[in-house]
Amino acid sequence: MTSSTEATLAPVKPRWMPRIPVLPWLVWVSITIVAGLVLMALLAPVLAPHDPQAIDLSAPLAGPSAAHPLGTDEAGRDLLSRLIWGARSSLIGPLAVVLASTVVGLAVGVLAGWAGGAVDTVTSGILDLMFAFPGVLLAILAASMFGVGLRAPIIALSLAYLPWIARSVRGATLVEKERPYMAALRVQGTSSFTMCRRHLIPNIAPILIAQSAINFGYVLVDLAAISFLGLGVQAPQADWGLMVSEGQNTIATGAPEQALAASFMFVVAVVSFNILADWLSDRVTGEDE
Amino acid sequence: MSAPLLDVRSLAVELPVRRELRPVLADVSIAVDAGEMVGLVGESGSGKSMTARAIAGLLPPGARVSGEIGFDGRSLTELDRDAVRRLRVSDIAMVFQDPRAHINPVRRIGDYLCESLRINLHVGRRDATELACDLLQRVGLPDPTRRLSQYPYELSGGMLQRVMIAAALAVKPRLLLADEPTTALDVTVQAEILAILDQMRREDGLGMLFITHDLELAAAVCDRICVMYAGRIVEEQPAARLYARPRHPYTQALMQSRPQLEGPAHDLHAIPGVPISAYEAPPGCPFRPRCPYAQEVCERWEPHIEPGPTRVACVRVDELDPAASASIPGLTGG
Repeated sequence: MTSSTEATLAPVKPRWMPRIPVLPWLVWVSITIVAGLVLMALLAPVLAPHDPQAIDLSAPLAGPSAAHPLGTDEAGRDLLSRLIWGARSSLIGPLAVVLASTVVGLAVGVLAGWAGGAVDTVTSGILDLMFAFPGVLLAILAASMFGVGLRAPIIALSLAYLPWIARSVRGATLVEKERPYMAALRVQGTSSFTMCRRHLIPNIAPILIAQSAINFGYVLVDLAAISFLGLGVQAPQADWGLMVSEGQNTIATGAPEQALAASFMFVVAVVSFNILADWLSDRVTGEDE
Repeated sequence: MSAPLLDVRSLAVELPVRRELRPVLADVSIAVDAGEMVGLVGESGSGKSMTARAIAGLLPPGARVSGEIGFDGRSLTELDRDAVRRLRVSDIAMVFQDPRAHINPVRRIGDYLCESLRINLHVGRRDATELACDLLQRVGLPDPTRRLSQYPYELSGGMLQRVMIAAALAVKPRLLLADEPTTALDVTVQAEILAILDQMRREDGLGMLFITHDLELAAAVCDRICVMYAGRIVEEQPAARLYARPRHPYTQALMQSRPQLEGPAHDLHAIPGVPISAYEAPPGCPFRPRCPYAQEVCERWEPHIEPGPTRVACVRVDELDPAASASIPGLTGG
């Protein structure tokens, strides 16, 4: 009797053991993949077996071998090395866009929500106008006007994603500023600036982070499309979007490895980011109930 | 006679509801002296909290205020906005009903207390921490250094209310607006919180406006009590006298609605009808529809408080009084 009771009890964890949060397995997989991609980008010089730009015209479109685990491209460059290096430009672009749109969007959203009245009306009107512009189109326009490369598309996409952040921040601000603790702070003589900086923003941070994570996946695809079109990252640099476009020429000739490998990286990265973002925003909205 | 610390005269507030101004307070006059605790009693929606919010400058945008809010001989309605804000911040503090809703949940207790100290007393980080510890000790919170590094969810409601009182005390205010400070708490914790407030009043000469719906509690701790109904003060008396001999029919009805601990148990007396807000008040006396003594004269009478030692807003108070007070059993002792 005693032994069976003991058996049903969960073992008591010692205090020093780290608490592992209970997450859906899919989220765990996504976290692992995202962490892996980030590590890959950071450690590219160490991880890549070859120089991603070293041309070897004697072995173009070679199949997998010990020296080239994924084979080579048209110019005999090592595909694995190019994929690993490609993680850098493929992730840095979206990161820059998300950071810029989050910081500026936060400021705009808080301003509109906090000030209310005419400021809110004008700001929300401008945001609605910005919503009407398709982001990719704006980025293509910017790239063709200010020259190819990542800079113009990054600025254009930052502007395109800013309204998404600003709108959700504005909504959260409207709710948060009516909370009783805000009145209590006002009686204490806390200035509006301090109330926003120290109290409002920490409270709306979860919504902000979730929205930014959702944006990341979208921007990843947008920037890849721009590089695919030849307006973003330029050859001979390694970039997944560029690799898809370079690889499509050889699909018909029976060497689809490059296009497939780069596309695969995209699918894996975007799906992982979206699963994480979904889970984050579910948690955020769940907590408010 | 010197002017009282807080001197509210004929305060009326209207709030915009769907583009229409609705009255929420009418002809409210209250005075609080230094070291005095004045009770403001009434049902939900009677305008108690709105009175405190008007004094603290927390009315929603678009509110229209008339009348006079005097503080320490100065008018809060006439001074320019900055001066009013400074005065309110340095001299008037407020304690709210639900401490959990009124303290930012994502910041530590120490951040909350120190921030207020650093803004208002212009002290450095280390001094602020020390002061915060002292304050927590004053409100009887054990282990203050540990509390400073905890988050609000780690503290009980009673502890949080002490934290909020500590934050209110931080600015060394002269007037404390206590908006149902003990309603969300256990009865035992309630007694402790009240003891702290009473100590502050005696030691620092703090004037206090104590808002509650608990008439017996107010009678036990306050010097004077104002009873509110539908955005108006209907009766004001010294606490003991109000408890022993309520004169307005509404106050009397409230007293009769209490459960009695002594004597045989009987059904609770309830006031017929439902409480109304100021904007729903009919012409004449607002309590008229529920008042057992209402007559034709009450319809035409413009409600106001008669000047005099007992201030009652009832046109029939003098003819009703003897019979009315005799009809309340067990109240002769006080």
